[in-house]
Amino acid sequence: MDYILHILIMISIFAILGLSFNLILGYTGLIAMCHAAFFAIGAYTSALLGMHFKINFLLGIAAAMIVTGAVSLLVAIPAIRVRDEYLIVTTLALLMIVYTVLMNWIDLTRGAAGLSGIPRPSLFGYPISTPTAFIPLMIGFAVIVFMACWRVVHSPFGRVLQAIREDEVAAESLGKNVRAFKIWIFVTGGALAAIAGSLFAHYMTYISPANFTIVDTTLIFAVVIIGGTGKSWGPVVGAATLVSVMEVLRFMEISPVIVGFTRQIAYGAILILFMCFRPQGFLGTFATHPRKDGEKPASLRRGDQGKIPSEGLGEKIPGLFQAGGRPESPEKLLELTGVSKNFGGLKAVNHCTMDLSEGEIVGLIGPNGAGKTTLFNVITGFYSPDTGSVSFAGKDISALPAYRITHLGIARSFQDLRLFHNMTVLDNVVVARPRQTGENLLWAFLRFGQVSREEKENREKALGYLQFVGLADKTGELAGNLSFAEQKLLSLARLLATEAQLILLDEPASGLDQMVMENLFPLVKDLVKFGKTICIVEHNMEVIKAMVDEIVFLNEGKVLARGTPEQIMNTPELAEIYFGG
Amino acid sequence: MSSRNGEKSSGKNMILEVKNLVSGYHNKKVLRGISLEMEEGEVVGIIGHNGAGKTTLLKSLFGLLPPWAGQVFFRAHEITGRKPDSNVKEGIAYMPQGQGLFPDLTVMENLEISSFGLDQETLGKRSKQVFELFPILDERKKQRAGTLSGGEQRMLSLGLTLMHEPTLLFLDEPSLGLAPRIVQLVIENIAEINRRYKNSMLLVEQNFEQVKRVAKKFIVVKLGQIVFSGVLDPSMDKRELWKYF
Repeated sequence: MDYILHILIMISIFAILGLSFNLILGYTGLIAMCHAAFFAIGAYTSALLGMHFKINFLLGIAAAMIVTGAVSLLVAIPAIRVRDEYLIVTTLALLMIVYTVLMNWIDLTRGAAGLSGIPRPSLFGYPISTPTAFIPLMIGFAVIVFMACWRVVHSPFGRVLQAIREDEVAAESLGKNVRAFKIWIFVTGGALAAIAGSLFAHYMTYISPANFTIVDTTLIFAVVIIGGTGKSWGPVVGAATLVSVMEVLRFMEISPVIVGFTRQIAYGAILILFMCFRPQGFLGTFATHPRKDGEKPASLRRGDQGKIPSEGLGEKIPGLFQAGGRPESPEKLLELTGVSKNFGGLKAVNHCTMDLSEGEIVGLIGPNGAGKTTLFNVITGFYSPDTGSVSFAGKDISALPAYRITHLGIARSFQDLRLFHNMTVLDNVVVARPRQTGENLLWAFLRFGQVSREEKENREKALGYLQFVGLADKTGELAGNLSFAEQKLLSLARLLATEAQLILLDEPASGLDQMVMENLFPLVKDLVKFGKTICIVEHNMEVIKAMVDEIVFLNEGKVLARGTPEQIMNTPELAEIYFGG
Repeated sequence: MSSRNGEKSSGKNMILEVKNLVSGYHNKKVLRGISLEMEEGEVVGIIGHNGAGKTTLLKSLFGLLPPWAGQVFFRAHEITGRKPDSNVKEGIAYMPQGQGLFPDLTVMENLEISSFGLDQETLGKRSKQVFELFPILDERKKQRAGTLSGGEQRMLSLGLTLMHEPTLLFLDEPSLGLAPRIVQLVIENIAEINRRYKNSMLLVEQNFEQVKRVAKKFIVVKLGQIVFSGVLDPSMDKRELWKYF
C-alpha cells in the first residue's frame, strides 16, 4: 500500500512541476531548459532552512518560493530578451551553473554527497512522516497549484500570455508589454516549481545534485508535452502517465548488470513511440477545437455558418464608440520630420516629412517597395528612425517602445494580419481592450470582483466590435479557421477594440470582395465622427477615392506629393509611376 | 467544362475532374459537393464572395486539406486526398495566397529548394526558363526573397511553381496586395506562362477586371457550391457580376 501511496506522491510532485512549467512553455511558448534548477533551488532552500534553523515547513516553502522567484527574476531579465534557440542555451547555462554550485559549494550543500537528514514536516503540531500522512499534504498542494495556474490562465493576464505565444509582435502592437509579461510568468513558474522542490526534499529527507539534472528538466518537459501542451489538466495526466510508466519498468526482469540503461532505453522508446502516434499529447495542444455554439451569448446564436457577413455590416452598435465628432479647428495629431530608415544600403524611408491632423483620413499610396509599411513600423515604434523625429499629440514618440505608443493612442493593422490563430475570435478582440486590471497578475488574484466586472464589460464591447464588422456569429470559432476575408474583418475589429485615436490600416481591402468592401468602408469612414483619425495604405483606388480626404504619394521612401485624390491621380508623372504607361 | 455527378472518371480528355467534393476545417463544412471538369490548356477563373470556399477548393484539390467526400481525377487517374509532394511530382503545382516563398533564402536558393528531387542539369535548365520569363529575378538571384518588392516576390512565387514543369496550376489570388501596375504585370506573366507552356490553370481572383484578361471560362462559388460555370461576358461590370453571387 505504501508503494502505491509513494507513486501517488511522486505523481503529485511531478504534476506541480508540470503545472508550473506549463505556464512557461504551454501558455507563453518559452522554451526554457532550467526548470530542474528552480526545482533544485526550492528543494535546497527549504531543506537548509529546516536543517539549520528548524524553520516551520510552511515558512520553508514560502522562503523557497521567494528565493527561487528572486533567482528566476535575475535570470529572466537578461534571458527573456532572447527567444527560441537562444533562450534554450541561456536557460541550459543556468541549469549548469546551479548544478555546479550545488556540487562545489560543499560547506553549504555538501556537494555530491547531498543533504541528508532533512526534517520531516509537521503541520499544526502533527508530524507527517508516513506516506499515508503525506498524501493529503501532497494532493492538497497539487490542488492549490492547479487552482492558481487555472486562475492565471483564465485571467486577462493568461489571455495575454496566449497572445504572446501566438504572436509577440501583434501582442506588442495591442499595447502589451511583452517583456514584462514574460518576466512575470517566468518568475511565477519558478516560484511554483519551488513548492515541488520543497515537498520533494521533506518527503525524501535526502537530496543531491543528481536529482536536478538535465534529465529531470527533460522529464518535466515530457510531463507537459505528453499530457497536452497548454491544457490545464495536461500536466496532471502527463505526470500520472510518466511516473506510472517509470514504475512499471522497474518490474522488468533483466540482468542487474544491464538493468539501468535497459530501463532508460525502454523508457525513451516508449516516449518516442508515444510522440509518433500522439504528438499532441493525451489532451491535445492549445490549438483547441472551436467553442460550441451553445457557449456563445444567446443573442448571437444564428444560423448561416460560413456565410460572409454583408448583412451584419450595416449594424452599428450604440455606445460602442465614444462620441467625439470631427473637430472644427483640427490640430496636428501626428508629425513626422525628416524621418529616415535604412536597411543596409537600402533607403526604405528617405527624409520623410508629413503630418496628420485630427479627424483626417489620409491615404498613403505608392508602388510596392515605396516604404509605406516601413513608415507604419516607424510610427508605431517597431522600427526606430535612423534620422528625424515622430511626434504624436505634441509628444516626441521616436524612442518609445511599440506598446507605449499604442497606450498613447496609435494602433495599426498588419498586411499579413497577425491574428492569434489558436485563440477564439472573441478572445482575439477582448485581448486588445486597453487598461484591463486583470492583466496585472496580482490584481487577477486580489481584485477578483473588479476583474470579473471589467471582463464582462470587455466581452460585451468586443461583441460590439465583432457585430460592427459582421462577425458576431463567429465568436466561438478559432481565428485560424476563418477565411482570409473574415480574418481581415477580425483584424479590423481587434484594432478598433484598442480604442486608439489614430488608426493605421495596412491594405485593409486586399482580398475582400466588392460587396464586403462597399458595406464596410463607409462605416470605417464614419469612424472620424467618433474622434478617430485614419491613415490607410491601400492599392485599391476605388477604396482610396471613396474614403480619404487627401493622398500622400510615396516613392522610394520619399514623399513625392500630397493632395486630393483627383489632384494626385491627374498628375501624369505620378500616374505613370503607379499605374504604368 | 460543366458540373456533373458520378463516381468514375468520364474518360474524356480532361486534365481535371472533380466529383461531389466535400471538405472543410475541423467540424466546419466549407465545400458542399463541388463538381467540375477542366480541359487541357484551359484557364478557368474561380470567383465568389469571401468565405465562399475558393481557397478551400484549391487546398482540397492539391491535397493540403483532406477531402471529406467526393473524388478528384487528374488525367483520368484518381488523386483524391493524395499528398502535395506526389501531386508536384505528377505535374500539379500550387501557388498559395500570400507570398508562398522562403523569405530568408535568396532567389536562387528558393528555386533550388523548390526543385527538390531534380538533378543539377535540370535545375539549371528550369531556372533559366524562369529567368527568361522573369528577367528581373535573374538580376536579383543572390538577393534574399524577403527583401524583394511585392511584385518581384509574386514573380518568384510563380517561378517556384514552374520548377517541376507543371501541367496543372492552382493559383490563389496572385494579385493580392500589389500596386495596380504590378497587378497588370503579374496577370500578363500568367497569360504568358499559359501561352508558352500550354498548361492548365485554376485561378482564384477577386479582381474580375484582371482575371478576365487571362481566363475565358469561370466558376462562381457560393457557400461551398458551384452556382455558375461557363463563359462570362467580358464586358460585364462588377455590379452585373454580383447577380451570379
